[in-house]
Amino acid sequence: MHLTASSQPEREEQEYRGEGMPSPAAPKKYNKLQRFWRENREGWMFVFPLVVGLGLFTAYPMIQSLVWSFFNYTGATYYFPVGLNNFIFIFSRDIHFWRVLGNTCYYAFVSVPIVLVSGYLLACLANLPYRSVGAFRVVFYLPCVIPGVVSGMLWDDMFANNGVFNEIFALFGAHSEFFDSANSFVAISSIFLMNLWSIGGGMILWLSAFKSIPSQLYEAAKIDGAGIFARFLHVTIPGSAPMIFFNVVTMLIGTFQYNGTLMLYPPEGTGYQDALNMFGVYIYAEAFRRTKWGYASALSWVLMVLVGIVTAALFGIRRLIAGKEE
Amino acid sequence: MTEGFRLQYPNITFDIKTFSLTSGSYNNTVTMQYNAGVLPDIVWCNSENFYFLMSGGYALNLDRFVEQAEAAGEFDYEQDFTDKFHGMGVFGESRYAIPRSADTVVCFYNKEILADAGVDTSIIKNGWTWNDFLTVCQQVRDYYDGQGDTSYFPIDSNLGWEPVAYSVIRSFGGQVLNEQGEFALTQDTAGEVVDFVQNLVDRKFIPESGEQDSSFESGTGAMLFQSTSLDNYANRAIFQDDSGNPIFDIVSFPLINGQSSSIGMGYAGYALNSHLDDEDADPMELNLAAAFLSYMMSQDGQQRAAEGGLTLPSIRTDLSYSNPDANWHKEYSSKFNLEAYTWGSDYKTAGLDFLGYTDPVFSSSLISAMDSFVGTYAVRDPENAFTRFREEVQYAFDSVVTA
Repeated sequence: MHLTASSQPEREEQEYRGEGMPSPAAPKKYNKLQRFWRENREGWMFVFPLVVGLGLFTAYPMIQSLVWSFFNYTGATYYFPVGLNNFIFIFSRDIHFWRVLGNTCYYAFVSVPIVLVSGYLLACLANLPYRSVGAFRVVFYLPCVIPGVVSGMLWDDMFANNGVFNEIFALFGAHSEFFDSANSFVAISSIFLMNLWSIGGGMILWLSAFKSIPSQLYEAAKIDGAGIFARFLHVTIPGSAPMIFFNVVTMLIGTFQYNGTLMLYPPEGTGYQDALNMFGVYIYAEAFRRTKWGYASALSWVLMVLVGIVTAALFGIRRLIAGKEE
Repeated sequence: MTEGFRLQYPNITFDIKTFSLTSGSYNNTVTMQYNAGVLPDIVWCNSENFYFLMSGGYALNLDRFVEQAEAAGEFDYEQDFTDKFHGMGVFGESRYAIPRSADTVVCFYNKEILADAGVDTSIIKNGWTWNDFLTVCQQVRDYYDGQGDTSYFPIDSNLGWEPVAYSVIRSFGGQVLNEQGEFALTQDTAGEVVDFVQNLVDRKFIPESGEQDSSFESGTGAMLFQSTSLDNYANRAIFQDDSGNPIFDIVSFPLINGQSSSIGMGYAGYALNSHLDDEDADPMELNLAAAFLSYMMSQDGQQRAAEGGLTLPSIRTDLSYSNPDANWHKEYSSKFNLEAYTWGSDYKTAGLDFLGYTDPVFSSSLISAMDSFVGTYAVRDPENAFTRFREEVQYAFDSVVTA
């Protein structure tokens, strides 16, 4: 019999099992928690700052707002439980809610396809192998470099009664109040128009997605006789599908929380007769202008459930499409 | 003013927290800091923010402090302060803020634009009427049109600002709530208000819907209704001629409806954080905060505040316009018509008295509804303006969720 020196990990593993311990001392036992910690501590140390951040700035506020959603809580004046009455009020008596919901859905479900498709097509153009394509990429991205205040002033001028858009409309005998319209369709559509200004920002993501598509696929498709449109349809789109899905999900979640009208239509951001009033703006106004913290919390949870349903539906659609392809 | 306070109370140490605030961020900042327990003991507010402090319960009732200070002989509350001071910073029957100055809404006007428009400036004097004002507006309108400046407007009216909005309603004998806290504006009075506003729109003295406002501050508007200090404009290059002399002046707010006219007032002042009165709060902290308010109300405090650039009428009777040593007008009285701020005290409406007839949680919504009525609905939707106003007020009352 001869002794061999075991390595540190081996020794630790033996210790877990209570093996290799010198007799006659009792074998050292580890409970499940200790064992879990010893096996995962390095990983947990790495993610510790993130876990603390998520706990403090995401989990805690969520729990707090859930509690508040069952209270009438207005700053320092009222704080008493109301059960489900905040939620009942939202759906039965709130004169703004249904308009806000309609505006938000209209903005989310129309804005995302517009920005997504236009940004995608722009990126396709900027991905073509022409010599001067770099210049186009710069031009497309340039609006994102211009400070928001400056572009805001530009758009304000362009949307004015005597602005460039109305000058063009006047040629056809038409006129629009854009953001200032009492019609949500007109007011929110003005934001779509403005959003096109910064689609170059998304182009960067699309270009990186295109780069990850193996060039052999394009070559093979070319050999098989596929034209430029067929290659786009059967190689580019499927190749960038994961990025498309990622963008659809994140953009939809973002647009449901949109509160940019606070800047576009100060001070309330609701537009004329609620034409621009969306969930993010409404929650902000209820919480920070009217100090109805409990009610605003209930609205936030309604929004969260709505976003959850939409996200789940998107994942369902993806599974459906993936299933059909298989 | 803080330096004067340091000299008077050398053993009290304090810090000043300065925040860059936009129109909506005051509420947010105060709420966050109050809930976090880090809101300063003494909180700055203006006449608009005051009602937010009330609605959130952030401001301490100062009646006890005033009584104690008066009993200690620090001031005579009735004698030492102006009539208008007594109505400002008050909610219901109680005081919650101390104004540092008495700010009346006046009419700022650009002398160069008016001269170019050929306006006879002899009619622009304290106590001028609304008809005088409309005459000037028409001349400026004609001048702008002649210049091709069709997107410029004679008056930057601030109709959607409560000191102006409420004074318009009051001038026609209207009231928003009665003493029972019920909506009290009649359809007839509302109609007069709407007609009054529509006249300004029709004659292109103010922009109609969708048109950009022209701005007195940027030189694209000839006149402005505001209550701010002259100091805010006097040193700006745009308001000085080549020799550095001011090209603007002020005059009293035009009398809208003869003897029934109302002139609005606003103010900036200070409230005490209501946490100071919590059971676990240090009573000494409350006393020190109260000492600052007491100093601000003193003659020395008022004079030092004016030295720092506050060229608005003092809240003290012994520092009125007739006192040549009062700092608030000493420097500027040779250049500006500073009496505009103090003229016509019989017409002045201090604060939004109707808010005292109801629960303070409705304040923000009621002010917003009134501002929208005069500043937006009367401009854009005159037929439905009254109905919208009444519905908004009713909804504000109905929107309290109960157990």
